[in-house]
Amino acid sequence: MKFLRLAVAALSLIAIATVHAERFDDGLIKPYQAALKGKRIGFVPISMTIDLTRAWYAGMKQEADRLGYQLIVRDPNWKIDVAVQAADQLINEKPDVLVLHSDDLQAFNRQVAKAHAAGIRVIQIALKSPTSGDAFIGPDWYDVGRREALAMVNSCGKGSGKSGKVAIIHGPGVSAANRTILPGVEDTLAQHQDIKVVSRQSGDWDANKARSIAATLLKQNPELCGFIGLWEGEDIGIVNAVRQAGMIGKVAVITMGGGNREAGCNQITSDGYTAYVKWDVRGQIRDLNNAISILLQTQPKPGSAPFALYTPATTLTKDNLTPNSCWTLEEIGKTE
Amino acid sequence: LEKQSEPAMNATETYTRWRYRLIPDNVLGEVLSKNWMDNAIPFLLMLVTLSVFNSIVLDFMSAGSLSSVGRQLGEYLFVAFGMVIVLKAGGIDLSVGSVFALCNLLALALVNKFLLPLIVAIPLVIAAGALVGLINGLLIGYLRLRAFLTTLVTLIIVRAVVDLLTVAYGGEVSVWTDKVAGWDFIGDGALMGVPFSVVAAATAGVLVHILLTRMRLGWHISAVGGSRRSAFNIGLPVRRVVCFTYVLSGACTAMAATFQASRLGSAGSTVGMGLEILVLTAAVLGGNSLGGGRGSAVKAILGTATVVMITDGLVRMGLGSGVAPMVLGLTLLGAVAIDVRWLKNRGRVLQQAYVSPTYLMLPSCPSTTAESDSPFGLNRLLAGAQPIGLREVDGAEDVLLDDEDNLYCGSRHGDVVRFFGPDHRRWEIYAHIGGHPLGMAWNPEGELVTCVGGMGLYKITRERRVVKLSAETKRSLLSIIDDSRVRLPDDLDIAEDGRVFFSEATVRYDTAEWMIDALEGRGNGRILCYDPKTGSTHTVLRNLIFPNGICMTGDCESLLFAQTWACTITRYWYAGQNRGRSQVIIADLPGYPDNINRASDGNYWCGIVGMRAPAFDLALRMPQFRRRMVYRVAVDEWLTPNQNTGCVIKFDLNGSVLQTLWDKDGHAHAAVTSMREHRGHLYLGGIFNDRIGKLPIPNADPQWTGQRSYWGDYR
Repeated sequence: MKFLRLAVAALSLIAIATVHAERFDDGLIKPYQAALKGKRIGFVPISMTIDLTRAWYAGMKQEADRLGYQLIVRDPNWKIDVAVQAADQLINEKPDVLVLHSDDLQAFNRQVAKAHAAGIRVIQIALKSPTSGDAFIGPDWYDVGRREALAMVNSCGKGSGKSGKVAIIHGPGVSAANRTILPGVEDTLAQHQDIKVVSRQSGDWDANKARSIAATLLKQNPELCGFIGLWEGEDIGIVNAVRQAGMIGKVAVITMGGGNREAGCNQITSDGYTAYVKWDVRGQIRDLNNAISILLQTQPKPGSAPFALYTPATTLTKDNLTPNSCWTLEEIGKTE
Repeated sequence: LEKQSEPAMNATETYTRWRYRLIPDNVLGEVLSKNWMDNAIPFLLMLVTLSVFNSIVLDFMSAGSLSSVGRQLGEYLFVAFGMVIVLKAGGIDLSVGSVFALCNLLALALVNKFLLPLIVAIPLVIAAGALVGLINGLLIGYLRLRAFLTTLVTLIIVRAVVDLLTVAYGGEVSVWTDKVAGWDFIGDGALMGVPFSVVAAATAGVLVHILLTRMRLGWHISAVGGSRRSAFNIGLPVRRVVCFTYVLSGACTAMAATFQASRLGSAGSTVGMGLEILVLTAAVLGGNSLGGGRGSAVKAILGTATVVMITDGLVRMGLGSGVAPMVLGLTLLGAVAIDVRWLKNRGRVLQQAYVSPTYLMLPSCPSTTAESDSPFGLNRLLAGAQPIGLREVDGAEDVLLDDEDNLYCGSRHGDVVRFFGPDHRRWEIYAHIGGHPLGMAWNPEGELVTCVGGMGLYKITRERRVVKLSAETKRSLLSIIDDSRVRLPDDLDIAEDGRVFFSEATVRYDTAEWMIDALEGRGNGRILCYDPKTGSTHTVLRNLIFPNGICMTGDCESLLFAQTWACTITRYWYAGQNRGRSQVIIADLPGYPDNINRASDGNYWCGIVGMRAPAFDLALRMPQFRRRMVYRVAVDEWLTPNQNTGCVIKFDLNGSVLQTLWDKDGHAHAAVTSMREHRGHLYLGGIFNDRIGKLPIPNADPQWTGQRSYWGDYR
């Protein structure tokens, strides 16, 4: 009996020791885990209805779940005043990092400053306001515009034997993206006298609007060689107009986007887009998670050391397309 | 009628009696009929919204959260005020969203691009908003176009203009600048911690409240919205008023846009998108009627606060895109449905809930058969009365004679009519008061004092000037309805010292609804005393069941009064040793007593309006039955006390009934509400009778007059 009691005591000691066994500490893993665990990340996208925001969210959520921090999303559904309100409320709730995504150039200016004043670090994704946050992750829009213009020169320029007449369907004037891409396009085209821009109109990031503008332009300019659009979400409308006019393959459509398979690669395969300037969302997700991780670990004074991680852009055409060029939401959301 | 056996009371009835004595059922109806009830429901809704989100959303009510919600609230409030003004005049302004976007763009351009000082820029923006409002107003007010379609078109056209301008200048004006002094403060400043837009909106709210409730224009807006045709018929400038509401709405929207322009600095294409739905929801949720006529600044505030909490709360709950607009849409649908149903049924619901019967058991009814030895035995003595003013009098509730034999009576047209003595063939309007004169009496100065239904206690001087003596008393401490105002004074008499004792039949009903009071059987009435020396009025006795028939006994310390639905006559001592004492001297009349007046032989006459009937007596013991009746049966079908078998009785101070005069067939004097003895004749008045009767009284003093009996030979 005495022996049995002793054995039980010894066994339980061993059990406790096993549970409490210290893992190997390399000197950073513990502070790393501690810096992330239980933290709160606020996310205000333009709208959760677009593939970009859903992909970013899915990517951030995975990492948050893995490392034990919380991701709070507030969806203003395209409305700027609601977005500002949501950001304000998040600032009141004092998350550790605030991820902002707004196409409106000015709207978040004050919120970035307010967040900094409240001790919250700000990451701006894809689109940045004039006031810099602590990190910016997104394409170099000027370069994206330059690439689009070059692709157009390729399709409609001197060597192509076509008219060289192109139309630009851009986004709204207050859009942060629009205001940087468009100069990239215009500056580059200006260096190529063989390309003549016959029309510049705003599609307001709206596929329907872009479709009707493109349809009208195709009727007005029978010689039109190509369209430059500034976002795939809008430019699918141009493709539809071209398709309806029976001009697929004859009229070039150049666009750009984050590389969603349905919206991007599939349209290249089916001759909708002649060229597609891709800034890969998968890379952005990694950058985004890394930025969160870095800010939480290093704890810089908010606003003191802003840094940028510009997403490299590639020009996709039918010729260089691979099965891995694009992604789907399911692939991103897949854990392992 | 044979004398009934004494009604027995069982346990259930004892319970009913106590239940109605202890629980004041009338409170519910009185609370519901309060004007502020219109705001209570939206207020409750706001509290419910608040507590729901407060329990779901973290820090929903924290100071920072309130401050940022407040900024948005302040902006929306301006738009809501404009919308409420338009709604109140019976219109609708759907263009607010586009006007908002236009003014937002304009404000940004003026400040960011042209660097105009605010003192120039803000008036320009408001003028622009007002201008669009003026276009709406001209089209709707003067050209009489439909408000809904017109503002829908303006919504689209102005939005198109905004889109064109945004493409051209949007980027240019959307820049970050702090070059114009004060611009930042408008959107981001605070006064003592309160966001500036909230302070401004609160100020605007006070101004709108004053406009709508205290100013001529506000009343015109209300009148036009309540009934456009009636407003036109009484000569209001309907077109101008309608037009002006849209101008105001445009200006208010411009103000809101200025705040947002400063706060967001955004000229995006979604600015102001869907604002009209949000503000309409807010307005209707606050209880402002889409049909016009009903609306206030407070309602706008309640509704807007609720809507802002809902939208903010839903976003903060992290629900997906589209949930917030859907909830908002459903809320609007619900609010409109409630608005429509409530407006349609409000009056009926309130009336039903207001009538609150209680338990009343009358003593058994004495026999009135001619053969019995009852003093109330039926006869036809009144039928022989000689008619005065046949088919000319209308509403002679009381009759009064002066020493020159002239006869005075009231009329439903708001006059006191004088029939010239001694034959009373010719008549004239002695004085026009405006309300129906009921009880009348002479004061020591020889002036006619009268209780005017719905108005109060008035006198007519010997120069025939109408003077208001009293229309209010001190409000009871715990009363829910405002009982300070005298609603239904019905009879008076004047004490030897000149004090006027007058009865108010009920504090719960107006003159036109006096019969409904009978259904309640509650002591809703009171006796008031007006003292001409101080000009003040105070309440002498409360909780009387339709008190009436005040008559001074002449002993300088007591008076008699009747309680009509209780079928009693009471003596009350207002002075002397017994001061404050009440004594029921007749407890079981066979009918409903009305006015009491002196007889020449020292006794008293009392008019009986109608006879008691067993069915109604029984119903008085069954409050639930009467309540069901009120809810289930149309008003014309309600049980009412009998009103057309009247008589006159003579009684003494011991309560002995000495004589009864009936009009058994009811052709001449169906209901007797008053009678006066004068020089050996009895003059009979009846509120529904088509004549005044004059009946000789055997063995009466032929020189006796009421005026002299009270005041002697004062000349």
